[in-house]
Amino acid sequence: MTFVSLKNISKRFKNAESDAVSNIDLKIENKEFLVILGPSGSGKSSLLRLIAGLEESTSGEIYFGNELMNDVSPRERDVSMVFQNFALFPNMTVFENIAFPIRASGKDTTNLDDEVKRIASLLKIEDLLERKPGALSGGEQQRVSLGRAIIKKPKIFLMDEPLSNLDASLRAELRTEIKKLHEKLGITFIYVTHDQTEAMTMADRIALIKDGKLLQVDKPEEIYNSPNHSWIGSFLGSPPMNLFHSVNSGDSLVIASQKINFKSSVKSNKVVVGIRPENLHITSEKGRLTGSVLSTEYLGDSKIINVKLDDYIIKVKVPHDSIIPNDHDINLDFSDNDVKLFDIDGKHLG
Amino acid sequence: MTNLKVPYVFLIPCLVIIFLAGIGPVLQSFLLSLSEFSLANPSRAPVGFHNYIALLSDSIFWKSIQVTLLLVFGSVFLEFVVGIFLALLITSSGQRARSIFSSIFVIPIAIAPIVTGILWSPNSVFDDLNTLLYYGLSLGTYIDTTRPVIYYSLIMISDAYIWAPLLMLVTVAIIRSIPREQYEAAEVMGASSWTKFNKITFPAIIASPAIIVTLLLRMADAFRMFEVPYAWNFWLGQDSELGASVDTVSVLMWKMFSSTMYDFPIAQITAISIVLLIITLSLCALVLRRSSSLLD
Repeated sequence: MTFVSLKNISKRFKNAESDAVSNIDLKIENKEFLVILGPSGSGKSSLLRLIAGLEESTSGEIYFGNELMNDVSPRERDVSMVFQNFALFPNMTVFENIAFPIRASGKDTTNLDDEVKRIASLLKIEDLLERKPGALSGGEQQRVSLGRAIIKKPKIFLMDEPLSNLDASLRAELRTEIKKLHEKLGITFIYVTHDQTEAMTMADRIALIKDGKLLQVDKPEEIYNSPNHSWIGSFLGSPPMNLFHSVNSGDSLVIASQKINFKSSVKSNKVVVGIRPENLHITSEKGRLTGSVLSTEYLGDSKIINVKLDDYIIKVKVPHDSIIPNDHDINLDFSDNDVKLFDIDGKHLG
Repeated sequence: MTNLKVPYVFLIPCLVIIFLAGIGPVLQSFLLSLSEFSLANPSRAPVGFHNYIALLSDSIFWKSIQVTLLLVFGSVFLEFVVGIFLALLITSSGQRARSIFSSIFVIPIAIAPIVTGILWSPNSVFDDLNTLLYYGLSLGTYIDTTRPVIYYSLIMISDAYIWAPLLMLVTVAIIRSIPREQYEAAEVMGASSWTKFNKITFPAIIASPAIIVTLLLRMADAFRMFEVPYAWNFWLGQDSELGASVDTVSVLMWKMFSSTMYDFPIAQITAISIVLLIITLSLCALVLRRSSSLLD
């Protein structure tokens, strides 16, 4: 069942020269965990704020179920929101912060004490209830802000880069907990981030957005393995996809001045070829590509080799125990399935 | 002379001036307050703390202290409340309206206090207003400016008229520093505008060291209030009466000095001024303490 649907939504801020969000069509399923992923300034936060009602769209329609939400105020949208800077109320205790949505909206407060304690124990902050937010660590503050969002029992949970202000180990810990929370609450989560690891690990589906435009909405593995745009290939993955401007003849490709056999049904003559670093292998025999080793980066579980191919410097990801030829010449191999073809503008071909 | 001592030599002229202009007169007044001395009878006879002890049992002095305290707390409270209202008006209005409002609101700061004592006087405001109320609207009633509740309120309003803009500027700065997300979170959680003010804006204002320092400074300054109560002495026809109902400590000192009924009791006046100095200095000490925590 479609739960949230955006129809041709655009947003242009006052005095801005271009749209922050441009003609976006997006359907979000009930109980789905959708991650909106994009670089900073891509319009992903604006999109979330449009769903929350904190911004008004310039054109287009937003539906929750069958209900048109354009003119519904944030208070009546039945959503909760978690912010990057936590946005806790500094003069209130943790208890009062969590209880705030119930008290502020004038709901029944008879079981409020038990409810706050239940949520606090769910988030492992039951010992902090009497403290003020200023006395808490960043991770604890974000847990409180999650609690404040949960108590409202919203239909949609909106999160705007909730982990970006935390350090790496806390991020990993809270990532798992937010995922668990999603399973436990059984409601729709819409999560905005610029961090591909968060998107990959948590999302049911990822919506990739760039310059206010929606590029692809798909499952994480689909979006990683079959990007529909060369930019997605270079944005996702660490290190990113290697891209070459190439000439295609139907049964061969010219990559970095080296001609390789490659049969394809693609008609275009000029194409962009994408190969992920982990799909390139070192071979001792004559490979399909030959280059020279510039440098090697040891990452513990793997090694990244920087290889110079004609004018390109590409990255090759190999197992940590790989032996890298000392003579600086390296033969690389890959299978046809791992080669992605894009047109000059970046669109995926065939 | 060693090189280490040279800097101190250069400091001497400056220290001499500070002593002559700042510390000297205060010491001089303090010594004066410990003697029996007036311009009519200029022989100085030391009397110890007699002048201070006499003050303790002087009902006119106590009355002026009460009047001053009433006006200090009344005026500063009014300034604070009006300042918050103006600040909310400015922060919630659009960019154009904001710049127009803030320039209009700030004008009174530049007005001389004695002028506000005249601006808000019975003759300038209430003659016409009362004519309108009594005859024009036939209400059969008018604003009686000789009633204490009216004239005390008017003095407070006159003071707030000048100083509320200062409180407004400080409050605007505090409100601007509150993260926008706090309001957005409250909005999404279903809070009304009143709840947002009551739970976010107001707590942030009163928790701010800047507002506390400003209020303390205003109180220290208001303790020396002179011009507006002085004007009201005339509006109430009490200008030759010592211990009139609008005599603040400063006005009392002036009247004691200028009245021909007394023989210019300099020693008593300096004793009062030393008491006033102690009150304002202790408030200033509080300000310094607070503001050092602000700067940390």
